[in-house]
Amino acid sequence: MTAEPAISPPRHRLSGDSFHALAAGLGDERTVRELRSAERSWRMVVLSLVLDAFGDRYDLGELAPADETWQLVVAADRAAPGIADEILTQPQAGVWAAHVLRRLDGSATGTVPSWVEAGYLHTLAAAAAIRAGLSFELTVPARYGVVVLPTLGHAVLPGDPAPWCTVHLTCVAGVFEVHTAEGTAVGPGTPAWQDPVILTATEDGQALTVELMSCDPYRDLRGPAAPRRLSPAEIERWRRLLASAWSMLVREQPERAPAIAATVRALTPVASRERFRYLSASGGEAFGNVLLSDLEDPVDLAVTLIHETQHQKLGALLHLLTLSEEDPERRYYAPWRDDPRPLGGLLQGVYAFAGITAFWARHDSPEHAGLASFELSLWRNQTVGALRTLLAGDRLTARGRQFLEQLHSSVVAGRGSPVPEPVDRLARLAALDHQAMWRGHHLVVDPVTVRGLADAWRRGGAATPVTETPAVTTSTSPEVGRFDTRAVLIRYLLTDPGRLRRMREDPGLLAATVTGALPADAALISGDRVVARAAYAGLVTAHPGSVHGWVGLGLALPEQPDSQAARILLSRPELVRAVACHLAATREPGEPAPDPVRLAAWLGAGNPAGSPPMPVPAVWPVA
Amino acid sequence: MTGPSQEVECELIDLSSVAVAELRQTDLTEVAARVLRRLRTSGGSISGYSGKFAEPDAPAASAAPAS
Repeated sequence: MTAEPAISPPRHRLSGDSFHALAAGLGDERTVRELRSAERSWRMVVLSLVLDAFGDRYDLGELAPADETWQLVVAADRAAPGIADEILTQPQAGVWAAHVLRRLDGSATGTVPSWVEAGYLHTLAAAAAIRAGLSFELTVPARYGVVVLPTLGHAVLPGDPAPWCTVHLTCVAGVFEVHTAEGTAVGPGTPAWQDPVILTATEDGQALTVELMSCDPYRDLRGPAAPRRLSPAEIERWRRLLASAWSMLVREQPERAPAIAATVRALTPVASRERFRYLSASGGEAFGNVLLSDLEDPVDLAVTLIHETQHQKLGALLHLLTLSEEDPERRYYAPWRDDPRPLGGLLQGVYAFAGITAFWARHDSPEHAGLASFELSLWRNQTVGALRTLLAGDRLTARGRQFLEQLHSSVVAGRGSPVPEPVDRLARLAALDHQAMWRGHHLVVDPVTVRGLADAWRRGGAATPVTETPAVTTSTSPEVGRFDTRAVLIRYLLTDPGRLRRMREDPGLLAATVTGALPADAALISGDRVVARAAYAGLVTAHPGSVHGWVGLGLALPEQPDSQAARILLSRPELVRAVACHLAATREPGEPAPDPVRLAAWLGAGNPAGSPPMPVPAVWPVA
Repeated sequence: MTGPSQEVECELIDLSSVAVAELRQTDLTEVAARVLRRLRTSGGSISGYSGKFAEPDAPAASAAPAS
């Protein structure tokens, strides 16, 4: 018998309007429809790769073979076209498929047994077949006592079950039950069954509908996660927060709200973070799902939805087109991250922060006026700077260059209202602070150069210029980094100055409110440079390796154009820190510790540079 | 380079006319290598707000199981 010829499909074509809208940082429902179509194609390829890979390489234990299980999906698709599509294009299905492929090729590891991971296919198939009204029986895995059937809900098994077990699912014409080994049956209508939590917010006739995900094992973007059941109070809080945020977006961002509604399908809450240090994330394989920490203020959710929709749109576009070529030997400074980033990461960042800049340019609530001006000034300058870094390099494809040139024009054109000078100054301080902290933590100065400078200092000679480009480390230690600490205090200054005052008076409250913050930081942001300078000088004398202390000292020194110490501390803190550490490590008994400001001024005099002290380049060779 | 009315030809094959039921009969060899390459390097495709998004959220470290 002759084999049926394989189908060879054409390529996607993106409309010019959509490409240009996306390049301007925008895009409407039609644009998102095109991206969704592309995401469906991408997902089908990934799923096909998973099915190819399963073959005989994955231990499925007592579960049905993958090919046989896929036939249930096929049957569901034939019985009720569209349902299997809806289930297989869920964001969590993409996270699962990509994770399984990475485990198979060894680039990801995990403690979840392979049959449990593989068995997510069985839950997808079961969900499709149930919704298509089929009759079948299938064994599926349970994790931590929960069986999730994507889009349908989840069953909570009784007792204290093992981390992994199997349950038997029976379905007659779409009516189903989950049977445990002990004989308990759970299904819709029983107390142990939970329907999906769907939240809908409506404003001016426009609706945003999302699933609040907390139990699906692949809701987290990084791999499998245990169920985390939300209390009714938590669900209600998210409902209220979403309603307020959506109302704000429809009123303030009418050209962006429709794309958000068309893109975001799920919110996955994770544990709360400190105020102004919220977490949110999107994944290239999870179009439609936003991971986010618990938030307090609707404005935080509104800006998060803008931010993550930008990531999702660009992620989908990158599945269609190659905009840049990675260079594993290079890392970039990204002003919104503590870690050195690959080019693709910086590209995602500029796109997200173009949206964030647009949000703050329009946000008009009186209680956030100072904060909005600060965020606008900070992020528009940082975004434009990062865009120029990308455009100045040689790693963009022709299409990528066209895309970023248009994005740059759009961000520059949409700069928003002028920012009051005092707030603008705070934004410049935050930008300098972050950049200097990044340099101090990540740039590695040649040890021979450091030794030569330390010897010259001891001899009373002049500091020789250091001209070589430092290398960058590729790892970061966020728990000791916290490059945003002083920026967080600025945000308190602008939104709740009384709390900043109390934090300054009570170091315990300060430490409990802003992890990593020192009394010197609170003094600096409160405008007391004299106290801050003395405290930072004491800190770096006792701990010459403290980047936080050296950069703080640079920020606390008088703002004079000819201040060699301030300039070098903010433009090349890694150099001052390295020399100070070497002097401390090699100090003879009785030798006094160097005065930190004198040491910085000496290094600054030997290394004159242009003003303002903005370090270049923003791309570095990997150490 | 591309005007508003000009379509952009993409690198991804268009499976919009291929039903889920027909997926396994479709020739995907042309696109599979690019997709696999992207998946292998897509640790960086998770776009978090800051470098503090680094803690694993493995099952054992997550909140208590459902009760």
